[in-house]
Amino acid sequence: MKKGFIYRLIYGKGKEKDFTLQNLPATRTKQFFFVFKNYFGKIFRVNLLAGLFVIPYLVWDFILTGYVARFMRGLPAEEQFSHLLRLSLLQYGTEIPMIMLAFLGLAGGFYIIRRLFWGAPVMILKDFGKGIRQSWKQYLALGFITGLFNFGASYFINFNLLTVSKEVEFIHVLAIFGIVLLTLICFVALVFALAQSSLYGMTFFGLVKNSFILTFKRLFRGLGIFLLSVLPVLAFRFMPWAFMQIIGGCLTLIIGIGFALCVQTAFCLKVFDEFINAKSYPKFVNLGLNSGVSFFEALNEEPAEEQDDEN
Amino acid sequence: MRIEAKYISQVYPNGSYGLDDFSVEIESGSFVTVLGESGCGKTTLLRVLSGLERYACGELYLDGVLSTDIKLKQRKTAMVFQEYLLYPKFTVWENVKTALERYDLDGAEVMRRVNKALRDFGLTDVASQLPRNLSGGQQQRVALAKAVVTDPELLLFDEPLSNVAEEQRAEYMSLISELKARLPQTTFVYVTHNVKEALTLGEKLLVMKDGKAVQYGDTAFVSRNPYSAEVLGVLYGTQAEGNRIYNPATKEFVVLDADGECLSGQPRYLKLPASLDGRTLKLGGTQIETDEDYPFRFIGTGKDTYAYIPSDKISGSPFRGSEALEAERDGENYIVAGVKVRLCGIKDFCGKLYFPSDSVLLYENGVRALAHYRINDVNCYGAVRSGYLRLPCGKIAYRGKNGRVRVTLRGGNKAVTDKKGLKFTCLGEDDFGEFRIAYLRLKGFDNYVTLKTGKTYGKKRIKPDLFEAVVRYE
Repeated sequence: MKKGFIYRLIYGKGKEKDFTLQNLPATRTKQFFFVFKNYFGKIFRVNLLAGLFVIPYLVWDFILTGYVARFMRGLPAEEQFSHLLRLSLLQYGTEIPMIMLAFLGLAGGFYIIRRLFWGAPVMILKDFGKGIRQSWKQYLALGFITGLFNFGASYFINFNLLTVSKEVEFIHVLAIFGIVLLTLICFVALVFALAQSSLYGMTFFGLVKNSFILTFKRLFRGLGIFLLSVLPVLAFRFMPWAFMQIIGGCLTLIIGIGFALCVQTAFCLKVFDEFINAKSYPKFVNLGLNSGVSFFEALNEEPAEEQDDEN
Repeated sequence: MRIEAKYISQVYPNGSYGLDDFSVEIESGSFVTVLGESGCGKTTLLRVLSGLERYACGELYLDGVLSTDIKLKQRKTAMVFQEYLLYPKFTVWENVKTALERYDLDGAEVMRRVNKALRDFGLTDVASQLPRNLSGGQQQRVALAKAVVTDPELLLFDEPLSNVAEEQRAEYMSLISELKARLPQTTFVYVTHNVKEALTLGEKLLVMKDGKAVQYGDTAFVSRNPYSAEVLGVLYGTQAEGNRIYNPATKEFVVLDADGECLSGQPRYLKLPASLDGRTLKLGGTQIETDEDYPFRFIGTGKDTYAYIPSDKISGSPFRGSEALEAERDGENYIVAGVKVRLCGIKDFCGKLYFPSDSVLLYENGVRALAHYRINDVNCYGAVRSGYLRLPCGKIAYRGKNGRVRVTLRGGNKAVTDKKGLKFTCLGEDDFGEFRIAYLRLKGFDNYVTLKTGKTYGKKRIKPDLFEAVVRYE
C-alpha cells in the first residue's frame, strides 16, 4: 500500500535492506549531520534542559549590560574609568555564580550528546541528571574559573579602551588583540576540559593540563570549531540592538546550546580517539561510526543503573 | 495461558458480526494459527482476547477466570501488529522500554530486560536507531522484542508478515518458531490469511469464516480431514464440483452432503437421538443426570430431541468429567447407537467413546434446548456485577424503524428502543435464593435468553430497563 507524504515524513520510506553498523557514518563530521538530523528532538530537549540553567545568566547579563551602558552614556572617559572597577565587579563579579550554574547544565548536556554520538540508549531526564551528578564538582570549578577569567578579560579590555592614547595606541590594540586571542585559546581548552570531565575520571589538575596539551595539538582546528559552534548565536549577541540580543538569547535557548554541544562533541571525540582512546581505550575508538563496534559490544556487559560506564 | 471462548458474539454498530457464536478451547502453551479470509473475524478475535474490545455476549475464560473479572493491566498479554506500531521518534531501545512502563520495575531491571530482549532478537547494533532507518524485517523484530520483553502468557500476532519483504519472511517465520521453543509455556495465537504460514507455523489450526470457528484441530489433521467445503475453500481456495471437492493435501476428492459437509471426512458433530426423563438425559445408551450443579439446564418439551456432540472432543480414553458411549469400530468409522460416523485420530479405543458431559448440545425440532453454560456461583456473581444479560447462544433480534439495527438496552438506564418492551415467553426458572435465573424465548425466534432477576417473569412484557442485551434481527 502506497504511503502518504506525512506518513513517509514520519516513518520513512521503508528500507529493503537491514540497517547494519556499516550504514553508520564514516567520520565524525558526517556523524554530526547524522546525529543532528536523526535525534533533533532529543537535542532540542537537551537544549531546553540546559537552557534552564543558562537562563539566569542570560537574563542577568542582559539587565546589567543595559544598566552599565545607560550609566556610562554621555560620561567622559576619565569619569567612566573611575567607575570601571566598581561596575565590572557589579556586572562580571555577580555573574560568576550564574556562570557556574550554567556549567551544571552543560554537564548534563555533554553527557547526553556524547551518548547520542556513541549510539548508547538515552533517557533524557535520567541521563541529564546522571551527567550532572557525575561531574558537578569539576564543572563548577571550571565555571568559577571561567567567570573569573570573564571578569578579568572584560576589565582588561575596557581598561585598555578607556585609557588608550594616540602615543601608545598600538600597544593598547595589541593588548586587546592579545587578550582576545588568549580568551579564544582558553575557550578551546575549556571545551576540551568540559568534554574530558564528562567522559574520563581524572584529577582537576590533570584535566586542565590535558586540555591545554590537546588545544595546542589541534589549535587552529580547535579555534575554527569553537567559533563555528558559537558564532551563529553569538552573532546576534554582539549586535548593538537590544532586539537582536533578545533574538540571540531565544535562539540559544531553542537550539543554540544543543548545536554547540554537537559540534564540540564531534570534534572532541575525534581528538580523543586519536590521542587518548587509541592508547588507553581501544574499544571506544570510532564508537558510533561504521568502523567501530556497537555500544553494547564496547561495554561488554549489561549496564546497571549506577555504573560509571565511561571507565 | 488456557483460553476458553464460549459462544462469543461481537456486534458492530452497523449490525455486522465480528464474531458470531464463536467457541474454542486453546490449551496453555499451544501455538494456534488462525486462518480465514479478510473480514472473517480474525482481528476481532485477537482484540477480544487481548481485552482491547469487549464482546457483546458469551464468555471468555483466561486460565479459568472470566475475562471481565480481569483488569486490562493485569492481563499478561502482548500483541504484535501488522503495522509494527513503533514510536517513530523513539529509538529501538526506547521503543522496547516503553512496553515495561506499565509495570512497577526499577531502572536496573528495566535495563536488564531490555538489553536481553535486544540481544535475543539481534538488535544490539541498531539499538540507538530510529525505526525509519530500519528495514521492515528489523522493525518487526523490534515489535516482537517489545511484545516479549513483558514475559507474556499469551502472545497474539495480527498478520505480522504482511509488511515484511518476501525474502525476509522465511527468516522471520523461523524466528517465531525459535521463539516458541524458548517460551514453551506461552500460548501463541497467530492470525494470518496466508495458507503457507498457517500450515507451517502452528501445531493447531483454527479456520474461521463469517465470525465463526468452522474447524479447529491439529494442523495436519485439519488439512487432511476438513469438515466442509468451506474449510477446503479457506485452506486451498478449491471450489466444489457438483457434490465433490478436491483436497490437495490428500490428493483425493471429498464427497459433500447437501449442506456442504464432507461426508468422507469427519463430521463436525456426532448426532444421536436423545430424550429427557425427569432430570435424566438419555442418549446412545448413556444416561447423564442433570441437577442444579450440572452444567446445563433443559428448557425444551422433550419431543423429537437430538443430542449433538462435537466430534473433535471425542476420545478413545476416559478423562475427568467425561461420559462414555458404547461403540463398534470399522476402520475410521464407528457405530454408536445405530448411527455410523467417521471419527479420525481416535487413540486407545477399547469399545467406548468418551466425551465431555458439558459439550453436549441438545436440539428440539431444530431449536437449541439447553442452557449451555455453568450455572454456579462464579458465573452468576459475574452476572450480578456486570449487570449483563447472558446470551450463550442468543440470537434475539429486534427490528427497529430502520430495519436491521443493534439495540442496547441498559440496565437501570434509559432504553434506546422505541418500543415499550420485548415480549418473551418464560421457559423456566432456577431459584438461587437471592436471585433467579429465568430462561426466556422471544416469540418467533429459535433461541433463548437468560435473565438474572429478583422477580419472576412469565408470559408478560418485560420492561427494557431491567436487563441489558445486544440483539440483532435474524
